Amino acid sequence: MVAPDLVGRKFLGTQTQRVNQSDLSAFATSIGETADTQISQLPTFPICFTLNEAERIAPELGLDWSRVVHGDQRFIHHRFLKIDEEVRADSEIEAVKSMAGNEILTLRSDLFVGEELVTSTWSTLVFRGKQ
Amino acid sequence: MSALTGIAIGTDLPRQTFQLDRAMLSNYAKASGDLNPIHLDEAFAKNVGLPNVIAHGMLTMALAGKALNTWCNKEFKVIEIFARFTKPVVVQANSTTALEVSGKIGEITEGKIRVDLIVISNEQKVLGMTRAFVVKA
Repeated sequence: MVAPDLVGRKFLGTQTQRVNQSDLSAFATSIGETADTQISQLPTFPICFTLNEAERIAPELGLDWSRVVHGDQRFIHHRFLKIDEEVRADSEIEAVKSMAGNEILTLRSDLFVGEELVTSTWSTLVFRGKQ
Repeated sequence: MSALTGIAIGTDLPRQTFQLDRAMLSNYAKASGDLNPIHLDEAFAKNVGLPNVIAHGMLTMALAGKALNTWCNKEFKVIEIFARFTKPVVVQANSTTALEVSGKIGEITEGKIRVDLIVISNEQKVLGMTRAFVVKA
């Protein structure tokens, strides 16, 4: 079981990720948009920079990433990322609970360019228990 | 012109239908970096108790974002979006699964428009509490 005192624990991003035009175009075309679609027209694109952080953090909490199911997701864009910017994700555990054998984690990940907060994201992740 | 220009609370936005297939799941997996085999590998999905391969919740949400993008028509932009993943969208091999996205204007405050989305596949709501806030671009 995940300890409740993990609430408030922070995981600062250890490296930056570059916003590439080719990655953006691949994301856009995968959902049937044109390759020249702008970041401002793809409100869920920043998941590319946060889900991998969650995947990195989960084992540190003793959680098995292969049993994860996405519960909910929020994005707040203070502005939109730009091509060639270097993005860092700083994450914090906002809530944990155990329910019916599942561990439910709410992880906030803030995307920074330098010291500027660009996009805030919240992911609720359900780690299914082994029945 | 954007479907949102001069819009009033309670107005319905035109429904949009998207078709999901295995190729889309595979392309989205590569593009997003979410390579969980429940979205790609039928045997694996069935082995963990799913009826078949399911779409990424985030793909379904991205398509809700695509519907918003069409309504916005570059005159508005989405500054906030939320979705709860309530039901899996099963995608069979060699066929397509339709996803219907409709919207209604929930609230307008200080130029910020709240769009409440209904996202349906196989006659079931697959996203819950789906909301976005849009402003003039």
